[in-house]
Amino acid sequence: MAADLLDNPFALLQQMASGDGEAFRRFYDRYASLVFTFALRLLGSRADAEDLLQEVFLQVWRQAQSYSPERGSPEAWLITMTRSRAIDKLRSMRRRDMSPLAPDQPPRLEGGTPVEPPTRASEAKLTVQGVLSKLSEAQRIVLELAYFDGLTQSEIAARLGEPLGTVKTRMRAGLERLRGFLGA
Amino acid sequence: MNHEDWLAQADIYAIGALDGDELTAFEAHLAAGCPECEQHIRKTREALTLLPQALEPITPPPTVKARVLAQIAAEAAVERTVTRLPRRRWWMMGVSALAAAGLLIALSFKLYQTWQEVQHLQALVASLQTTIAEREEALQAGRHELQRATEMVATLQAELAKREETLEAERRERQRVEHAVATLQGELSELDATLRLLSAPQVRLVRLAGLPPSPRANAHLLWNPTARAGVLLTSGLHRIPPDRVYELWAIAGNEPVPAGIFEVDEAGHAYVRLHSLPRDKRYDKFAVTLEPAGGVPKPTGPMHLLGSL
Repeated sequence: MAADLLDNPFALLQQMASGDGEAFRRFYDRYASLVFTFALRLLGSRADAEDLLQEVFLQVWRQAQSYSPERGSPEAWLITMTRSRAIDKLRSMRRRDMSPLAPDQPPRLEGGTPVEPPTRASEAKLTVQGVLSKLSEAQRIVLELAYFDGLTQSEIAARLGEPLGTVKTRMRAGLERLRGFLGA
Repeated sequence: MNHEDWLAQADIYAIGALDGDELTAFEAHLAAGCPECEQHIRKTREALTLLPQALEPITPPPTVKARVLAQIAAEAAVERTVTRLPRRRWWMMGVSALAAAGLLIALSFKLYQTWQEVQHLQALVASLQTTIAEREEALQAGRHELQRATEMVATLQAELAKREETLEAERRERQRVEHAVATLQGELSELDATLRLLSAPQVRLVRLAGLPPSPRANAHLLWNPTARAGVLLTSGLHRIPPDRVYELWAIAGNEPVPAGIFEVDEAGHAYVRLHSLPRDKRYDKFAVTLEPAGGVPKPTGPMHLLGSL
């Protein structure tokens, strides 16, 4: 009970907002692995993922007072922050023609499907079968391309050689199932 | 476009994949205010957190944590410093007002401000001097305190040495007392043994009469023939010089056997214990002679007392 209270992310964020370094340390210990794993999957390089991890947690520290529970869970806040920073990085890398993604390579999927993982992010694997079994393979591909690789619907359609409407339909169906998993 | 269509776009928007004109249109819809779409986006983003959480977790290197912690510590320090810096807002406002009023006034204000700065610095210097004086006073007080403490330590050390000395004397006294008690216990147990020896039924009383060197002396010997031991009580013997000693003999036939040496007090009294004499002899006479200090194995000096069973 006491440990739950101590590790409650809402409480930790409140304490951080008033400059509590110990709360920050606890928050870091609880979420660093999640952010790092996600960053690694997004960016595909350990060095970049470490930098991103550092940037995200600095932002957490600076903006803890602006976090509000009505806008979502602390996890969602953290993950959105990580993703938007990573996508910015990826896009600027692409602009500089330094894309780590070979354009015809779809994202790697769970369990040795024909679309094999790109070498980048090979350390990060989707494992929670409960989540993934809700999705068809085609749904998984479009969600991963959008969410982990930061591609837009048109880019995904071009990459897969599918009509835009199909991509949208698959994406919405996949999201519908994910929401169902959360009971949302 | 009906609202179902907007909600469908909200999905694509939430995952960040909406682009082109569709993105522009949807952003306009949101900007116009649509709580339903906003709610839908929030839910979808919550659901999307399942994807990164479904990744097999990889532990980041601890160096990153150290870096982050160092950085937030540094920021916290800077923030504290910044908070303490004097506010300059009034000055900014002053300048913008004066800019309108003219350069001359601005310059004189600047002068005034500089003068104020000087005043401020002078006040600061004065306050620092006061602080230094206070510190010096405190230092002086600290020195006195230190000296007092040093003196107290010396006093306590002397006190301690004295206590140790007393303790040592007490220890010696205790040893002496213990030793005396041990001696008394020894004597007591010897008396006990003697008493047991003399309470036996076979004990005989032998009278020893004074011979010519001590005509007025006499003695009684309580003799236990079984234990070949006894006690001799004398009276009327002369005091003797330190190089001499009285020696008691038990005589078996014609053979004298040494049975102990003794001295006498002022009144010529002595109490002498005879310890077990050699076996296989029938002791029937007892005599006392005067011998050189330490005693001798065979009598050499004049006989002072003699008696027989």
